[in-house]
Formats: sequence, C-alpha cells, structure tokens
Amino acid sequence: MKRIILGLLFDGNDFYLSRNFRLQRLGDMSWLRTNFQIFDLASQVDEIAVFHVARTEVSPDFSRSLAELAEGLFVPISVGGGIRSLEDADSLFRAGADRLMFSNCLVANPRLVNQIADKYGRQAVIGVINFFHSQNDEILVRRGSAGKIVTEKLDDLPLTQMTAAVGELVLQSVDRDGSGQGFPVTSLSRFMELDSWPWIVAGGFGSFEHVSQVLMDTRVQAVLTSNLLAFVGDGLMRARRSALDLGVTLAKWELFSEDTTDAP
Amino acid sequence: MTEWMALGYLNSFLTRKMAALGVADYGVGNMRSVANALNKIGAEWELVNDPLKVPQYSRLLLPGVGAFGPAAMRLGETGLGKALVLAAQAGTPLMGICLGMQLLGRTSEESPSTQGLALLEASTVRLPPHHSVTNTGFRKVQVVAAFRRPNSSTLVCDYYFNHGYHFVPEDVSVVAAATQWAEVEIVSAVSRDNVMGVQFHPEKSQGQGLAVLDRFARSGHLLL
Repeated sequence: MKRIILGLLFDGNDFYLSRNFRLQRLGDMSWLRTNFQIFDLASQVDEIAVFHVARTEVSPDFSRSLAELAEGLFVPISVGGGIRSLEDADSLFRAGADRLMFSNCLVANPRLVNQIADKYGRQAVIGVINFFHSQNDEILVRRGSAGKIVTEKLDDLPLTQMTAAVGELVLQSVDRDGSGQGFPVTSLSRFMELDSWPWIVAGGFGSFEHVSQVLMDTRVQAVLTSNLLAFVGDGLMRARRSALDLGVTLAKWELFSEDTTDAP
Repeated sequence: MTEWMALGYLNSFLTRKMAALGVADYGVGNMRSVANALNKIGAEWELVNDPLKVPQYSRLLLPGVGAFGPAAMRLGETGLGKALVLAAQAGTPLMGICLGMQLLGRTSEESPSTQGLALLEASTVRLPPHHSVTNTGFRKVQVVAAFRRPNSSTLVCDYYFNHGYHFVPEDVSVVAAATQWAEVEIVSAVSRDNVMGVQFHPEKSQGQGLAVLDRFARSGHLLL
C-alpha cells in the first residue's frame, strides 16, 4: 500500500517553506493551527515528517515543541536534522518520534546511525539523499548544513555502506524543492544501485496531479511533500482521491468517534 | 521473588483500582504516542514503571518501539517483565503493541541471546527477503471472526505497521488477524485468553486504531 507523507519544516518555534533549500518563515505553532488546521491535514496523510531546520543540534526546547505537535497526531512521525548523538535520538523518541531521518550522518557518522538502528531497530531509521543535477547532467548529492555543505557525485558515494542500517530511503530533489513543478521521475533511473529499496520521493510537488502521477510509478512507495501552500485546505485529500481513482492502493481510515467504538 | 515483593504484590491486588489502564514504561521506545492516543480516547490511564504497582491496574498495555534485545533487557532489569507475567497469569488483560507483542513470545532472531516474557509459545523471526527490508505503512488486516468488532461490515481494516521481524506462534489458534506482506502471510494480531498483541500500531492508525485502544481500555478485549 502506498503512502502520502506531509513534511513540516520546523525549528522548534516556527514553521517554514523551502525553495531549493532556502527557507521562508511561515509562522509559529498557533499560526499553523489557525491557518493550516494541521490536525485536519494530518487526518489526510499516512505519515508526518518533521525536518528540524534550526541548523543546530536537537535541543530540549525542540523536543518539547515536537511533543506538543505530536499530541494531536495519530499517524507516524519521522524526524530528521540536528541529531548528533544517541541521547538526541532518545530525546526525540521520547517526544513522540517513531522514526529518525539521516542525511549527512550516513556518510559523516555512520556509527551513530548504526547505534540508533541497534537500539531502536532498522525500521526506525530512514536515510535521506538530497540530489540535484549538475550542468552536465551528473547527479550530485548534497549533505551538511549552512556553512558546511558538501557536494559529491552520486557515483562516488558508497551507497551500499551508507544505507546498511536504514529501513527506508528518501530521494529528495534539491532542484525541484519548493518549485511546484513536479518531482523529476526520470532521475530515478540514476539510482538503480538502490533499486531494491522502497523509495520515498520528495521535492517539487505542487498539485494533486503531481502526487497521484508519481505514486503510479512502481518504484515509488511514498510521496513526501512539504509544500504546505500548495496543499492547503483539502489539497492532500484531493491528491488521495486522485491517486485512488488512478488505481493506486492507499489506506482508508475512519475518524475516531466514541459513539462508534462498539466496546462490548 | 523476594518476600517483600510478594507482600507488595498482595497489597497491590487488595488495593487494586478496577478502572485504570497501566502502560508499562520501561524506558525504551515511544511512550508518548500511546499516551497521546489514550488521552484522545479519554481513557483513565497511568504510566507504570514500578513493578509493585503493576497489579493495581485492571488492564495493561506493553508498547514497544525498538529492538528486541534492549527492550527485553530493560523489562528484566526493571522487574516490570516479571510483574507483567504475574499480572497476566492472574487474569489481567494485557495487550502488547508491535515490539510489545513480540516480547510476549519466547525468543527473537533480532537478539538471540535474550528471552521474551514467554506468555505465548512463539518466536519472532526476520521478515523474509523482499523488495523492502521492513514492513512499513498501512496494510490490510484480515480479522478472524471472533475478533471482529460488532457492527463492522468488513473483516478487513487498514492499520499502520513498521517492523523488520514478525511473530510466529507455535499454536495457530492464537492468531486473531493476519496480513499479507510480499509473498507471505504474517500474523498481525494474537489473543489467548487475557493475553493479546497487535503487530501494528493502533496509536498511529488514525481513527480505527484509536478505536482498537478504546475498546481494549473499556472492555479488556481485542476487537479489530
């Protein structure tokens, strides 16, 4: 069964939009509740992915904010960014994270990724590969954060080793991030070394048709969009309906009601 | 068990609060998600990390996100494992969630040197090789008739899974629900008398998952 995942870019205080990995502030938690009815949005998706964009390590304040956010979410929550230690991971799991996402650490600190997989299981670890096209159409991978960004050729990366401890893989297009132009599906053929993975693809989704069309691709298990403005209101529900109409298998669920729980 | 522990248990049973649900907090995994879900359904519940307090509860939940070995060790170190076994043997409904269900069995390939609670004759084994190394996402759960919720028009419901190992009971009569994953059918829920478990995460399965927890909190039964 395929999935639609809503991404939230969050620094612990405010939520952001991203365009080619450049951030634009949207507002704080109350703003998100008021303007985006985040808990209604969450009832339209299979998962939530929270990207910690503060460019620092995870702080107790961030964990507290995550816990506040998680209070009203009854879908899985993945969290990535700023995880520097097993203690950071413990803190995020305690705050409500179900899975953790790693990009830079896959190369820079695989020991930490392994430690977390050993403690929480491989299913609790997601690898993220942020890729873009060079001018001569090579695939480059970007990792690190502001001031410490590293760019490498995809072909130079030890992909098998990098992904040895992860359960799933996100392929995120930097070129299309926030563009609303759709995910570059043709790029997927460049990741054949990783073709045994269930891919989550991210970057570029700007309409419900983009989502449903990509979900039709047999290589893609899930679509992740952080483009809140493109899917405000019932946009994600429309994406869901559109995908179902095209024959994509997606979960169906009910809203909770104490009147319909049928306890004997 | 020491004498003081035995006296503690006796006293705990005598002062038992019949309505409360105890959630085993053994320091591993994501207790908050279960807590949020129980708050949402309005359950009367408490985290329990003191084994002497386990008998006070009329229902018990054993959540689990993590690897089998560290979780089983924590259950042993804290004394919660033994307390849960005694409570289950005394008839208290006990439900394991995901890793919590796997811990109800004896062993796991994930951590061969550690033992589970052995409340069910079962072992946990790695998912067979497939396109994916984990079973992640919503899956259709085929429910055995006896565990079907009243007024349900279907025996199939979608619940959220995230695991790399699966539960294999020796006695198939304990199977309450099954799920097709790749080419194999995996056990997605088990129940024997007052001991039950779900491989999926009801606390992460939108409204129908909350309803599973609500029915367990209210009745002590597994109804999917």
